Amino acid sequence: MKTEKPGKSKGEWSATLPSLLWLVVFVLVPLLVIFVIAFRPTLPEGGVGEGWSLEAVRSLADPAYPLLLWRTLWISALTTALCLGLGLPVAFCLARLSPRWRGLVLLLIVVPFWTNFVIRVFAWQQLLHAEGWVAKTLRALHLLGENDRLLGNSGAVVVVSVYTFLPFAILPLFAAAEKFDFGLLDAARDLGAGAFRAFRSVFIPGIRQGLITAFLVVFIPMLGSYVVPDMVGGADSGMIGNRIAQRNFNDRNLPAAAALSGALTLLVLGPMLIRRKRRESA
Amino acid sequence: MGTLLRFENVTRRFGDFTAVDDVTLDVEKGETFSLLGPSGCGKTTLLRMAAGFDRPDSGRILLDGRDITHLPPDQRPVNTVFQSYALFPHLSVRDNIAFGPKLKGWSAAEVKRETERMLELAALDLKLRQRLLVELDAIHDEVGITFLYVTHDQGEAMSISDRIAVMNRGVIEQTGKPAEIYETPRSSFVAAFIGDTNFLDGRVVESGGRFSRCAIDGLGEVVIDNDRAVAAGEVVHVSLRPEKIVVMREKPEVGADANAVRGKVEDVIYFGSHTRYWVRCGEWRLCAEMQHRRFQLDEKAPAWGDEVWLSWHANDGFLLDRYRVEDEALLTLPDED
Ligand SMILES: Nc1ncnc2c1ncn2[C@@H]1O[C@H](COP(=O)(O)OP(=O)(O)OP(=O)(O)O)[C@@H](O)[C@H]1O
Ligand SMILES: [Mg+2]
Repeated sequence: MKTEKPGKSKGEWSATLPSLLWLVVFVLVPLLVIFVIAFRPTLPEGGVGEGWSLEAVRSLADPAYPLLLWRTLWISALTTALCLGLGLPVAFCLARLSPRWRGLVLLLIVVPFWTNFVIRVFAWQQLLHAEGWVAKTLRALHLLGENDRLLGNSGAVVVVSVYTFLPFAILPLFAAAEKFDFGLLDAARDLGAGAFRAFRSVFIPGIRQGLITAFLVVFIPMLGSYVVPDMVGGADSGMIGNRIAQRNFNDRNLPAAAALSGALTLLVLGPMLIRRKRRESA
Repeated sequence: MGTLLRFENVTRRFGDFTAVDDVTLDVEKGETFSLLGPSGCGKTTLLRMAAGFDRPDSGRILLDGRDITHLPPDQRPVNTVFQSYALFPHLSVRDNIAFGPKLKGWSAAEVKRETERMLELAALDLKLRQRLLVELDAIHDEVGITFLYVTHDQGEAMSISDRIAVMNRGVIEQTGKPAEIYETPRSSFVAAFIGDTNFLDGRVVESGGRFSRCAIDGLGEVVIDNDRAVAAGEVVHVSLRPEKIVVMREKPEVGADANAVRGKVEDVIYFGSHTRYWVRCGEWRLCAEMQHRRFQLDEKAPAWGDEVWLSWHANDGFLLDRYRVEDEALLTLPDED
């Protein structure tokens, strides 16, 4: 019998070719460009010079960066945790709804996408404004001090980021929950598990893939987030993304911006690659 | 023995559809009890309420006399074997087995020892279902567990149950031992759902003590057993199982408590152990079944077109309490052609 050589068959190649091309052209090439620019010299009038230089890479040793990195990480982690925490019960209930209601609720979840993202963040600015009705109500209830602000701090960044990313978390969680066999929850209850225990030790592991996807689609864009901190955050809630934008647009120091971007990319890809290697060798 | 599980006037609606309609049912301690009925009759709904996965809209469920209607499943000493096996896909076989015991608070060592023992016992194979039944039967004999079994296979229900409840459209039509259900069906549904039968209807012309005489349009007068009290003039429906009818070539000698009617064979189906005949008697078409006891020594079997006599004892028919025309559709009689 003739045996197939290991590796991809012709059909497999032609099926993956479009997405491969897309990845190369829109992800791999820009990444390479960024990495190359990071090793270029800076021109005084802005722009990228010829030749090679380690100047931009050395600029990563800025003493302000560890704090910036730490803030970026915790804001991203908290936002991701809140998105998963809020998305899970929503996905669970959605999967249990009758198909008719499910369609309607899904529509409501994606409806905000019809309005431009920046405009929606503007709306949040109004909502959280010191003279807005939310702040006024909270102040009247003595839940907010006279000098406390809802806007211009990391809290506002987290709230608006959760608002922005929640639908992106709900959709993969729902896709996984929809395939989950809810009879398994009955079985767990039958074997003596309480409702919460069944949810935690049967439902959560059952939609693991959805959780991973939801984590990735929230956490990774959050690391590079700069519009939200720029618009609703304050001086002490800037994230790495804001710094990159500042380097790029204000300082016109493209190599420094590229070095920071490249470092962030490595920071994200590094753990993922290590995880993959571990899983392959396991 | 006493009642273990009791459904008391249990009703469950989904929207304006009533899936379980005022069911009252007692399952005795230690028995194997089957819920038998066609697809969608409400068996699973009833079982889910017993396990606690669902709540009745009205009525109560009692376990050992205690009201468990609103008790969550994890607090009921009731266990379900799931139709889909319900194995947790994210756990290994070992962890699947250990899931329940861990929740019951067994020590890690106990859990490990018992899972090892189970793994030796439970080599999973393709005949899982049969093995499961055998295994459950063994457990049943060993520890006297009470089984509430759900099936739409009447053969399965008859062979494994101590008692059966026959369900139809959310209602229990009859509860009893397998032989009672088969031999003394209360309704046309029970008679037709379990095995085959002939339905005869007629008007009582003379009611006696043990037997009555009944005029059947297009067949003549027959004698029936008074399974329940009947009055002259009453319209009655009788279920007559095919194997109770004797098919003969010659006119049989029958007494006052038996019937003999003349007919012509219209259809014959040979089944090996027995043969089925559909015989035209006046305006009726009756199904009769004959066992073959002795190869080539039995009287030569009647064939298509033969003139025959059908006879049965009044006792062999059963007077129905309830009759519905649509239940005739459940019979497997071939169409007239
Ligand atoms: N959650 C539900 N929502 C709406 N209707 C339901 C629900 N569960 C059951 N039903 C309906 O109730 C009726 C009884 O269902 P049930 O599952 O109890 O039938 P069954 O006797 O177990 O049938 P089968 O032999 O096919 O398993 C069916 O018509 C079913 O469509
Ligand atoms: Mg069912």
